[in-house]
Amino acid sequence: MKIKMLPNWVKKLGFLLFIICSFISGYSHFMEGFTGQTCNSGNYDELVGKELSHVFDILSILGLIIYMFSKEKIEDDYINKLRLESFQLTSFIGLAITIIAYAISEEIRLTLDYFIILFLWIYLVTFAFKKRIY
Amino acid sequence: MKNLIKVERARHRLTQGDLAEKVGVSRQTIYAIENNKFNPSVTLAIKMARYFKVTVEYLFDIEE
Repeated sequence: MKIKMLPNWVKKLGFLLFIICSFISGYSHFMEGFTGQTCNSGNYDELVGKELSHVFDILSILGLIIYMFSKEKIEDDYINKLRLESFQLTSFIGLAITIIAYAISEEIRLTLDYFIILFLWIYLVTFAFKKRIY
Repeated sequence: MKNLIKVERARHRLTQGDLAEKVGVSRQTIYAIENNKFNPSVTLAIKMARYFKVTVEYLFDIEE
């Protein structure tokens, strides 16, 4: 399976974007929980507003997606095979988690970002594990 | 499919990393081929056979 991928140098850019944006957005969520204030209240609003925090959330996800779709240093058929297997396993695990969560409680309501982050992280961990196992 | 990559590699005194570099693939790919976890493409098989100066049939054979 040949997938059109981004060049290898973009990988570092994606990772950097993810680190910076997730730090800013993570800090905003942490402060929200720590102070008990929402993003739009108090002095905190001056630093990072709710809309801006959402933008950083999206940018951090975008960074992970860029990282995910970048080529490895050496791209060959075996790496493509591992990538395909990782996608397959990620789909199964994601589906299994969703079904189990639904089975445990029908009332569970999750926002879309939980599914996006779950999918991206499972894929990245699976792919990294498969690549380093040998 | 069985192969003689490991034998030929030892004969040429090459590490997996060396061979990987010569044929332009990752070290993991060589490991996977040697341990029958991955069947190489025709292009890669020919590249390796040419590098070892042997035929593809000698390097790779189907297990009966």
